[in-house]
Amino acid sequence: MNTVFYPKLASEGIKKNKKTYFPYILTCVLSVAMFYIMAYLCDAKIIDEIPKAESLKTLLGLGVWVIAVFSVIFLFYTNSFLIKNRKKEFGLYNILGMDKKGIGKILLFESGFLFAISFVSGTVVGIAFSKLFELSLIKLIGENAKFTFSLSLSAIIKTFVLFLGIFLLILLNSIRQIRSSSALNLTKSANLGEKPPKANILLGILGFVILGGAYYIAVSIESPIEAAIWFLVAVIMVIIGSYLVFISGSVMLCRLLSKNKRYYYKKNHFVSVSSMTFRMRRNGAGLASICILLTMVLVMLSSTGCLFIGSEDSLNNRYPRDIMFNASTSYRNVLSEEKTGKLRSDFDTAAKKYNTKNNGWDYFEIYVSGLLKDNGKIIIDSENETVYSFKDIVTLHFISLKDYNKMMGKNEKLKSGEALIFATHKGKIQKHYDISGLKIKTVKKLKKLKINGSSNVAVNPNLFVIVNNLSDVTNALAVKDENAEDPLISYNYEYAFDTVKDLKTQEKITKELAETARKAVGYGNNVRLTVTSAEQEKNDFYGTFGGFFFLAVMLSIMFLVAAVIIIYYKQITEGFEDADRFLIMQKIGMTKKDIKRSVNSQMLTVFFLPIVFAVMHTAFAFPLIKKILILFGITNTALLVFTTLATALIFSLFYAVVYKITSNAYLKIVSGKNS
Amino acid sequence: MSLLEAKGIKKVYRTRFGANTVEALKNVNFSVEEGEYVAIMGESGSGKTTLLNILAAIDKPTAGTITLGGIDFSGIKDSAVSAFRRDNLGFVFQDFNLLDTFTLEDNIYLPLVLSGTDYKVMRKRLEPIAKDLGIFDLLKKYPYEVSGGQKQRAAVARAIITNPHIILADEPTGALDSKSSDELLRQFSSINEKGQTILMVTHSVRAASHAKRVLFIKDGEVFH
Repeated sequence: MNTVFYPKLASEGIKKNKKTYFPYILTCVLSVAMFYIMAYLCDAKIIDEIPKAESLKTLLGLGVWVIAVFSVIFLFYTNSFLIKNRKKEFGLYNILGMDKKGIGKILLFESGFLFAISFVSGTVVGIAFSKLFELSLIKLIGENAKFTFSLSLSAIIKTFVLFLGIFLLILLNSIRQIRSSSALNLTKSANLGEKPPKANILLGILGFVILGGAYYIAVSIESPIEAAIWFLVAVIMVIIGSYLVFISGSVMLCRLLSKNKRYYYKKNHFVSVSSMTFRMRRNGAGLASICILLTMVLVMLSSTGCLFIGSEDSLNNRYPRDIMFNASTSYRNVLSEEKTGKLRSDFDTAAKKYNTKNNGWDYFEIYVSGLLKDNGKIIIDSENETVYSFKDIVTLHFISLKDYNKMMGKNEKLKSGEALIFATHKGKIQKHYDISGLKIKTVKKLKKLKINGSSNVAVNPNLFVIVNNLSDVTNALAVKDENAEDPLISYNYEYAFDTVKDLKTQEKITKELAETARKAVGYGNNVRLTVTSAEQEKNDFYGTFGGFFFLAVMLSIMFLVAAVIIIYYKQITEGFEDADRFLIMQKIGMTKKDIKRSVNSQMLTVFFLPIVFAVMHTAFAFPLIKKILILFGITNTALLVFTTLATALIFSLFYAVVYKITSNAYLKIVSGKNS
Repeated sequence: MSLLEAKGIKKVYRTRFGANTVEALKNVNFSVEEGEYVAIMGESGSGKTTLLNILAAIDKPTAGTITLGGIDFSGIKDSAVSAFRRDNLGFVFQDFNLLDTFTLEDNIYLPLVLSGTDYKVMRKRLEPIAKDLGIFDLLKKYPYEVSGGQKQRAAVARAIITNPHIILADEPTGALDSKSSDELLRQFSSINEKGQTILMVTHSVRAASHAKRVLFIKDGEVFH
């Protein structure tokens, strides 16, 4: 047999079955493009320009995995109904004398063609869109970003390997199916209803168990870092669980509904339930795919929306004063009283010149972190201890009573060993603390303290401890510090004041103060001097977090488009299948109104179920998202609730529009073949 | 008064641009009495399918009236046609027109479900019909699991379960082997003996020979 025979049969097969192959190729192209874009963004230099790029990259990395798993399951199932339609043709070849090996060859060429088309066009679409992302991002971030037009070879290779693998798996599965059935069965199979999978109930239970496990993970994780890691596991579990539940659930639902005679033999249910039963597995898989894409969009939009809106909120927390100075060192002698005194008087002069409100702060602190035990014991050199929760790590700021009284305009008095305590996080303040040997008695809990804002947005609790004499603290803790490998204690001088809210002015003050500080403390590696202005920070923050939000919106649009296309083509292909049936039913006496009603009842299930599950998934993902957002400095739960609800609402409206369009298209097809 | 009466039925088809006209039915007049079993015979192209389509309200005549039980339905509104068909007519098609998505039982129930009949009533009606037609044991099977003759018997069951005024059968034996054909025709006769009016269109002499009255159609005209 000549060598072009099989390739020709394969390409003819694709051409002849355009109606079913086109949607399939489209889904393949979309999957390839989605995966490429994710893989590309993971490596893209542009992402480094966004603050918290590391966390973002971790999340994008998770995204790559999620899309990979999704693509495997999704393509597998879309292919399964494709092959069903082709079996008849293969059966005919078989009867005409082509052996199974020959059919395998046709399938091989067919998969090869499909892979080539999908990979090439998918990558091209992916590259085009990733460039579009990049250019828009650069526009948002501004001129600081260096623009390089690059293709990511590694992303292309990753895409190639993944999809080659998927197509191979699909091919093997098709060959297995062809091998195990006789020629006669092959010719009949297109008309055959789907048989329910044998271990259906078991699969369903397994699906629920996996979903439950994922939900448990989402709800029970405590620490933000762990949340970020387990997020991937939970997401993949949700994907697998959803597919199992939807597939076996749809089978079970169909059985249950058709067993309930009173429900089943009603005009509106009869036709829709029976055609859902006819393709119950495929239906389940389609619904699960839609559900997962919807969930991704919901999660992404609600969390980044919250991140964006919350950034203002968190900015005010983080930068409560316009101009903030911080000097930090690990060496006790660097920030001597003499040097801090010099800094203080220089800054006071500067502040007098620019200060519009007298509400700044000015203190020297000893800063140390430790492990908090139940009885008020705090261990600062706890290198061998395992930390279970972020709540157990407490950061202590020791401030002298003198600084406190001056700053707050008070006249408190303390004895040695007594302290005033201020806590940034809610939680119990102990009566007594034992900080690696330094014993402290709480005499008063403070309600208010002017402090550097970064402790407000810290993940773990911060305690400000006002003591009579700081040398007590240094004396008690210095020994531990000297024995430790890395310095445990740092010495900070903090100064801040408000001024006019103008970017230019604040930039000028920042420069001036940096110079003043350098002169007062002297140059050197042992001390770090930073001056920040709120306006500058806000400027950066918005530009870049805007980019972040933009990225999420773009990805959401991509997923959404994928979901819409799946829904649309699912209904269109089913429409063509159903058209003949509706024609027969019209002959028997089904009116146009009946058709419309029965289509609506069927559509409602198709549309309703995925969004219900998507909202449920999102609800359970909520605690996880909340914790991951803490990593980005967002602690406002009410805002997250609001953005989640708002996205869900906007989304449902959008979904309703898609529903209307799709059901109209479907209706047009099924009632088009008119009597 | 006759059950079904066709008067002066005319059907003219126009070719696409209206240049030529084809007269499929010229002037058809005939009537069917209640309880009759009538066959309309004709070669292919004689206009018999056109006639049946008009009788079934699937197509509209260019001129003429048809009355069923005294009601003229040649001018019936499109939206009411399906319901009219469902409530008054039973159909048996050459290619069965059973739905793959339903079992035979559900296929038979379909017209009743469409007219909103209670399940218990449907069940009661089905049992004797299915037993008479010899498909009672096959009710749970799907169309692709049974033979052509069995499919057609299920289609007959579907046609008579609504107690229609008249059954319109379009070449019911056209897709069947001779044994199945004979069996189906016997069943038609026995249904007719119970009082069911049947109008069958066929080109097979053998099928027509079972009917009590045969009309011939040729070049768009019916001869008695």
